[in-house]
Amino acid sequence: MKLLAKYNRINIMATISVLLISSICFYIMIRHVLINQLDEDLKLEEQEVLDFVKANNKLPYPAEYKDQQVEFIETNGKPVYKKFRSLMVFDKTESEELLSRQYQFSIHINDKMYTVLIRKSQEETEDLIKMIAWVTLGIVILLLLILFLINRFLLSRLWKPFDNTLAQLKQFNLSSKNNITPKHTDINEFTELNKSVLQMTERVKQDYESLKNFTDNASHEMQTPLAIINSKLDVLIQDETLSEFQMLQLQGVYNAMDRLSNLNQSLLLLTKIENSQFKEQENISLDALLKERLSEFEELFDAKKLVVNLDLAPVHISANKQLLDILISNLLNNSIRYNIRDGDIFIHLKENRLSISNSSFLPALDKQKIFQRFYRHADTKQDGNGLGLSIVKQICTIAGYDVKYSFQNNRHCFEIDFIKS
Amino acid sequence: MKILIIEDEKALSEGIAIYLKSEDYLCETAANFNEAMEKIELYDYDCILLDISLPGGSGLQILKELKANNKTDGVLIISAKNSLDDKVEGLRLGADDYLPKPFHLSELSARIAAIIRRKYFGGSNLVKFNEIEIDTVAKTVSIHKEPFVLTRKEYDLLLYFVSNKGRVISKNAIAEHLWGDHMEGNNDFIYTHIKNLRKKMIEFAAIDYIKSVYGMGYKFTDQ
Repeated sequence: MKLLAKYNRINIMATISVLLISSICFYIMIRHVLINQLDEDLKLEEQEVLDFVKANNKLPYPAEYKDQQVEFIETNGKPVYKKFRSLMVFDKTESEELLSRQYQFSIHINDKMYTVLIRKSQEETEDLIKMIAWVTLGIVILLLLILFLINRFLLSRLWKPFDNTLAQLKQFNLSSKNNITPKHTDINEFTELNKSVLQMTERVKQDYESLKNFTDNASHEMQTPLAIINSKLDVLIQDETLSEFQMLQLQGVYNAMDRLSNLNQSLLLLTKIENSQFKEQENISLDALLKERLSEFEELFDAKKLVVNLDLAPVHISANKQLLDILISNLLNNSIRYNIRDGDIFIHLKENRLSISNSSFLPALDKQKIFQRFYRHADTKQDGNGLGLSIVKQICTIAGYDVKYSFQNNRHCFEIDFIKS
Repeated sequence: MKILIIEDEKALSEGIAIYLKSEDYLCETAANFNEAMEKIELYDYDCILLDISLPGGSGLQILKELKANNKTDGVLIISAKNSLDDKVEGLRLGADDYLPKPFHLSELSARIAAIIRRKYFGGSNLVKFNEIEIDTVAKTVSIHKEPFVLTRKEYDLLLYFVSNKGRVISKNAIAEHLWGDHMEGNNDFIYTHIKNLRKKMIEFAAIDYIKSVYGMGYKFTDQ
């Protein structure tokens, strides 16, 4: 949930409940005050009646005004308690039941007991209360509306520097040299944030640079001794006095040397791909590229007497040529290396999907591990350096391709979707 | 033919020099930037092997200097960085070729031969070995003036052999030359491939120059 939405929700709920509670209190208070006022009026009337009785020793005439009625009822019982109550009384002029406030008390005249009822219409009071309630409600709605508008427009404007910094952070890419340039803001928190972001990206960039330099240096430091070993070996085998045994030993050194330099190259390649150092994109005819690679590998197919079945539809994609080349070469390479003698390879290219499947001496491979670095099936002897498929995966990740491995009918199949996911 | 090896690793330049001497090249070495600058100012070379990272300066600076002085020395960059940027930059500055370290000396030798061929023979050029003539421009081969038809890889292989005639080439070097690093650790099929070329040459002209050296490499020789 967005901070703004969450804040809004809490804010509005708090506001509503405070306003609701205060409105109820307000209502009760107003009502209490107004009813009290009415009761005071009724008491005043009582005093007038009592004053009349004291002076004249008889009851005044029952009065019936528009808003006030006085009624006398002769009783033989005990005197009634003085009591206020609200009740519905039929009004002749309005000819409907109206809410009235009634006060009852007893008067004792010439051994006769009278109950006096004084009534005053409560309708006006109720109208007043109702009006006050409506006005209050209106104020509440107006207040909420203003709050909502403030949150909506003012707050989102206040958050702008934050959104700006966030958008730039999302765009941030180490290998492309774009810098983060936060917008100036006079809000302390955001200034602080921008400062930290700048410091952090600067630090990350430095680390990245030093790591890249380290990789470069490491490769340089490794390649040079490898080149020396290689050159010394090439010179050494020219010696015609070497025995067959010595030559065989040297062959072992050559092979190890090849593996080492190959491993070094592959690790470097992986680092380079991870660092997104292959950025140039061009329009490439995938089928043409495949045919080119296949003709390169022709002798290798022949050596194992492999049958290659092609089904290539013209497909053009925009990609980095070098990476695409490595991707295809690695897959083809595997399909040859792990194939059986007289085996076959099926290569299908259709609608941006390339699938390469081949017979093999290897059983099904672990789908979870197949793209991991240095994962190698136990039966693969020492072929390959265990990085070929990691490189394939890495290339696909960088380019946004989908790569899948499956094993069906004793065939290994790799499928690549060139549609950017 | 005079070659200048600009390389700060003594052991490497020494190995290269020994290997190239057998091809009748005259090799000189320079181990740092200043020494290299001195030598290219004083002498002309047919081909310069140029390492990019040198003590005292960059090999690319030497390359700029060469081109600024209108020197026509062929330049082969040998770099440990194998970065595309270096390669592009080097070729842009006028280098003839780029070979990443580590490399096989037979590969280096073949590349140098190609640079010198381009430099001295321009348009038409024949590489000869006894009765074999290889036209490196048309990429055709003839034996006793008769066209000898080969596949592309067989042609590459033959030219590679002739460029390194009289020397033992390891199977690894041959595999790498023909297929890059794709067939690492599986050089047995090289045997089949070479057997085919050998058979073709025997059948075509009854010549057999390819000698196996204890199963570890091959030598192209008429001795």
